[in-house]
Amino acid sequence: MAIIELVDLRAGYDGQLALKGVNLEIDQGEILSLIGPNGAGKTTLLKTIGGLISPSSGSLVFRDTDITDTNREILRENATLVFQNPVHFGTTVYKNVAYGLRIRGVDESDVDKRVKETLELLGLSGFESRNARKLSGGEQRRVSLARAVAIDSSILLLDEPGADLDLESKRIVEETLRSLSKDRGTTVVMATHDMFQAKTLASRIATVQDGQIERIGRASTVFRLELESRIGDHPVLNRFRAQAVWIESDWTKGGHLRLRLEGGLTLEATGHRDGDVTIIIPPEDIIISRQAVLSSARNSLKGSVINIEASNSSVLLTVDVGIELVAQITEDSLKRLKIEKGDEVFVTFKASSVTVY
Amino acid sequence: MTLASEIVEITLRSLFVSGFAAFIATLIGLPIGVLVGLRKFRGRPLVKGVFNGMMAMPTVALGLILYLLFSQTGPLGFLQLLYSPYAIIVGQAILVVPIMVSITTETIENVDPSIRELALTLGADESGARAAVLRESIGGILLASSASFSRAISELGVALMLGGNIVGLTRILTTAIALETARGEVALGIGLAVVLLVVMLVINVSLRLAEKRVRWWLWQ
Repeated sequence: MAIIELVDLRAGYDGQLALKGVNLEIDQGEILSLIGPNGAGKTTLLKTIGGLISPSSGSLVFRDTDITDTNREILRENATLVFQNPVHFGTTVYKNVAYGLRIRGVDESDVDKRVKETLELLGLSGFESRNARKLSGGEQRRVSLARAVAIDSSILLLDEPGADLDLESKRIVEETLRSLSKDRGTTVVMATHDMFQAKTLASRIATVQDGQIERIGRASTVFRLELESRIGDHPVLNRFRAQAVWIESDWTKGGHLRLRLEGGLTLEATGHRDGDVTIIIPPEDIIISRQAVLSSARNSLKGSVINIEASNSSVLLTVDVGIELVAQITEDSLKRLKIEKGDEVFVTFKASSVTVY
Repeated sequence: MTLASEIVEITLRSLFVSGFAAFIATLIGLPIGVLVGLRKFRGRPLVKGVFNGMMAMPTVALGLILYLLFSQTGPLGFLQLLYSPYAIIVGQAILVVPIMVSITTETIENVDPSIRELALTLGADESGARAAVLRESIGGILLASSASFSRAISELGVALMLGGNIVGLTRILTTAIALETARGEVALGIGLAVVLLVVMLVINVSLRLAEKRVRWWLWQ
């Protein structure tokens, strides 16, 4: 059931439209990621859903009631925005987290209980009397989230929840979001540049481009379509030129492709193409293992690790398999597999993970 | 009366007159500053410009205008305020209202706009959001009050023209310094100037120290 529905919604600041006809249905309890370049309208969309910006036209429906012109306060009561840059009242962590509860007239003993529970959930126990503005970046972001979580909003709106977070804070934030969605039925809408986070956390992804929703759907579907171009400022990794040969076979209904890359390397992909093509292999679809794995995946290659680079929330591993393939794995996996530069590893990915165009 | 007791009396009068003037200026200037800082309305830049400009008002010009108003033949002569401490209070209050308004407005405008949105998104209504912005502005508002007081206690023109430097009645630190220096009592003038500086410093430092307490109190 949709908790929020936007129909041809237009909104902006000072007469400048940032949203130019957004159509979007957000389901109760889902985690929806908004991705897109800076200035695409993601923050404006979050603020509009949060009741902080008035739509200039179109309609905004909350739980089957059109509230476009009548009662945006209802959104502010039910939706809470966590800003991209942590902003706090100039007081203690406790009073920051208690603010929303006190505004709602919650009994003081319940305020105390809920603030302490929330701080514990976000790993901030013991921070009660600290000045919220004097904490580290990651801690400040967790305080921002704690403030929103404490009031138990039906809709949580997050603007870049993973930006500049240390790995520990990121893990806590992501776990909290998952548990809110699963256990409390909280609807989470987050704008992010972190593709890995968008894909691993969200049930659906919407791409925002020039004030409109360009695509929306399950993460894997949207990513596949998006990989054909650049998203925002993020370069597409693992893009190669190849010679494709279509082979009729039984294992896919439409046959499959044999791709011959520079240096004689051969890969398999799905689809119907012949001749010169460009292929993209999403780094997050590549499995890294110490030994060859027996699996259904059609592509398994041996190579040596030539670079290890910490990314926003994960680690990018460059493996020379004849071509330089970049794989995205978690820091935990890197530690578990004890991978170091120069080590021999196996890379495995499905034929359907290879986008051919 | 000994010299010491006379200095104490002059100092206390200065504190009373300028403290009262700063208090009145705060009562008038703070709401105006808050209004101009929070609300968007037509002619707002003009209002801000006028108050900013009036911060540099020459004290003798203001003293002269008020002298004409309060003199026996002036439109406010019936109040019989001229040459009383109350005339100085009125004059100094008018002098420092623009300081109070301008610093308050500037402070409120410089509060992170996200504070208002933060309060709103956490469920506050418009007035609750404004209160949150004001709480964040408290440092600047205290600064506006202390700057107003400092300007009032250190000015000479208004006190001299409206008070007349009458011993035991309207003599305050600045008029006494001017008189003693003119009479060749430079040492006494320097002594009074030191008293004036110490008073100003003590008041300003105390206000800054009180800021943390006030902040704490506002969050109760």
